[in-house]
Amino acid sequence: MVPKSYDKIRAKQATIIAVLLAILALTISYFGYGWLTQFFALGVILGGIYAVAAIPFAWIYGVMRFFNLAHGELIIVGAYVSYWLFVIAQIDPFVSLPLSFAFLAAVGFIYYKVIVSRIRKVGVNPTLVASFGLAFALQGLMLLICRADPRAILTPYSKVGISIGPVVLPLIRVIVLLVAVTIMILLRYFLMRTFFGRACRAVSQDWEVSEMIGINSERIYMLSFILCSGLAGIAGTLIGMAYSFEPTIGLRAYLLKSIAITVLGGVGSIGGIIAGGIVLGLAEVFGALFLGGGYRDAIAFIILILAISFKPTGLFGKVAHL
Amino acid sequence: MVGVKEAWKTAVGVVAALFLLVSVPFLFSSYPFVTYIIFLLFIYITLAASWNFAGGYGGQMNLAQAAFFGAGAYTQALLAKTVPPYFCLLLGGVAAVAISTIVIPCFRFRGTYFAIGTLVLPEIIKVIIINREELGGAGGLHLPVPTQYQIASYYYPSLILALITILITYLLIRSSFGYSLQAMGDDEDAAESIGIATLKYKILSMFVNAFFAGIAGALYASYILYVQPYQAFDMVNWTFYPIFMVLLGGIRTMKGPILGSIIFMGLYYVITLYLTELSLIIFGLLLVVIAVFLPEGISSKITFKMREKKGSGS
Amino acid sequence: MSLNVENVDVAYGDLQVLWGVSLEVKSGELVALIGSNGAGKTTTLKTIMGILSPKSGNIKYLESDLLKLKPYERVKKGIAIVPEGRRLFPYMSVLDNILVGAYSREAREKLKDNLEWVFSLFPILKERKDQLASTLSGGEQQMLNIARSLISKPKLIMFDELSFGLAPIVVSKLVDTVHRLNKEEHMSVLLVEQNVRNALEIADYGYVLENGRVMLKGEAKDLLASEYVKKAFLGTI
Repeated sequence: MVPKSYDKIRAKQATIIAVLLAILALTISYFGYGWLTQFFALGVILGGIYAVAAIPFAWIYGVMRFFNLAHGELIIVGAYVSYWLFVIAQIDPFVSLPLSFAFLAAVGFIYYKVIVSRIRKVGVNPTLVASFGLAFALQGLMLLICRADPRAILTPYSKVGISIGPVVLPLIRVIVLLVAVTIMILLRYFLMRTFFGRACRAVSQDWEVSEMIGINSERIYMLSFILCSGLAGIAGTLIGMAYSFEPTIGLRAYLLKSIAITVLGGVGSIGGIIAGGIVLGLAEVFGALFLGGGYRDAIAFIILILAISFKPTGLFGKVAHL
Repeated sequence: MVGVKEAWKTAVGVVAALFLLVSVPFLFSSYPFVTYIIFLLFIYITLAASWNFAGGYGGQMNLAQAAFFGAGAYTQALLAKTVPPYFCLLLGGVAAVAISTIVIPCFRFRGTYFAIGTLVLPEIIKVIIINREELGGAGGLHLPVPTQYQIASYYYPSLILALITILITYLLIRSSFGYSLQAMGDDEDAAESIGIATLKYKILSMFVNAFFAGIAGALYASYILYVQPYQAFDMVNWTFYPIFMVLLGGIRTMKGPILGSIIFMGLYYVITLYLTELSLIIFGLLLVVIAVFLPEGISSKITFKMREKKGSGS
Repeated sequence: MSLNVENVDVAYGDLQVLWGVSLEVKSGELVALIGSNGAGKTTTLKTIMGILSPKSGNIKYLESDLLKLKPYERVKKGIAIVPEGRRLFPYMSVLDNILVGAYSREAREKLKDNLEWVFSLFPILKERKDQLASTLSGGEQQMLNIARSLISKPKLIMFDELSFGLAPIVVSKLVDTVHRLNKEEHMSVLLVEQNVRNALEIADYGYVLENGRVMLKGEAKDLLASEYVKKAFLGTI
């Protein structure tokens, strides 16, 4: 049952996902519940964006076994960066994506140098306290500067809807999803085919041997941290475009969801994270439909618990890994 | 070995501290808020010390403490009318232990997954209570107001509770139980391989944690006179704050929880009272600074200083 | 080009495991390091590689002090280790496992040629290059282990428990390969090996480690003939 090469793994993952989705969508439309397909599409979009937000968290955890509790805050900072650039300098959010990346990458660099590299060797506890403290500090900073009201980056084209088949969707969300998917595909290529990507995978699987064959694991940690902080910024910008945000949802929502998706998708697999994201997105949209909006964050929690209880190694088990 | 002089010094110091603590309600009779804060401090010391037993010495990153606290609080609320007061507290502890058994299936997981699994417990109970009117539902329950209501009558029980918790955890740690517990906390696999039944120690240490946390919850409820699911099972206040206090003060030490609670609460109230706008930021930054410069917790620095003072002889 | 380990003491916390260990691998030499389980052979290699730090003593390579260098910097200097237990990256393909060994800039420049060479040494790896490393047989995994360390074309290569858990047929092929690497590619070799006869038959020089100390050293053929070695490792005949 064990597939022997990457291509087969990739194909297997993709076909499972695609087939399940297609069957679901077709059944739903066939039975005349076209409106359910609408929610379905929204759920997939939500899931794709959650996946982009979760990848940096999973990457850091995979490479360094570091539970970055400030992850949610980094995302929201990215959202605010793009928001303010748009409001003050009229910079289109798509254009500000690389700026958001750069800013958060810089923040990540400082975070790593000042905090993470110093206490990483000591143990798990100080890193949890430190990242938690940073999360608090960042949240407080944002509350102070930006106030607590929810915001969204509303461009002139944000309200446009497009119809794809029986479904009407906000155009902005579709484009954001496409951007997210493109980024994830690029990341996967980066992870699988570049030396840096290989080194990251090696370090995550066995850091001691990685050192022995010539990989500078410290450097890998630092570069991964910078990359993933930047990615969090990009995720934040995308979220800001597609949905609303405010300072407190970093810790409350996005951190928890990233953890849930990471467990669900398996630490090492971008494909798994995409699948996990879609599962969560669909669960949230349909859960909110049937149970009411207040339960949205609770759904992530439930999924996390279910994932840990039944499939601790992730949806695709040990087969799918970085 | 500690010399006779040292022993006397410590004894005098402890007695003086106790005397001071006992007289607090009288010293601050016109500022009941101060007495309340110290009451709260003792509650937190209890929570920190009891968590440190299973989590620090035993190495079990158990995040269900809010459930233990809340179980004790709700027991107090439900039984206050029918059961004599101090007995109620004990029942609160027992109820918390009973609730904690739900966590047992999680013990087959390791590290992070175990921690996340334990997070469920407070949420589950919260949901159950919200949906059952006889338990007060989302609105919560009120406790009967006693005829003599003043902070002092809660202050002393909390002081005694903190002292008992510390004493009992101290005795347990020094016993053979504590020896095996720490072995497990050091290295679970190694402990298993030399024949320590880790599951037994995991469960029993959690019971100790739950018991004292439950009593603390019951005591707190009997003062606040009101229990409500979101407040009684609030993870931030009753799980995470005590854990941070332990990490601050020094995990796996006896004075760690005490020092950590004092410093944490001191910082918290100073910051939130005087710097409300910036409080989150400063508080967060302080946590970062402490984690970076004092990763072993504050008690490690203090021990170091004491050793230096004593000179070359030890 | 020689490796000089001078009077090295290594301890795990309070537990000392190596006592005043000294050895030398001259350029182009094949040196065998033998000893019973727990004698400290792996510890010695790990210390040379930089994973462990000695309490005292010196390690020099080509006259430069190694102790200041981190493990990956020592790899850049031309030292490689083939770790014991075939610790491959289980979820990476054979090819990726090999490529990861060529992380340094210098190694990447010569990658194409080195890769061809490595595949010529172990053709079976070329066949299975897209398979996950965990799906290979024991012998193939050890070949991959070696290939991963060879891709950087090191000048000194250290083998930790070359034949552990492998069938004799596979072992003799590996031993041949090691011999060829030494004689044809002029690589210096430090070989830690359970099978003493195999090791000493291809070695130029040998050290016997016992309880963390060098018990015996000398030319390989002398060691093979010595009473001590015969009794301890080759069985009484």
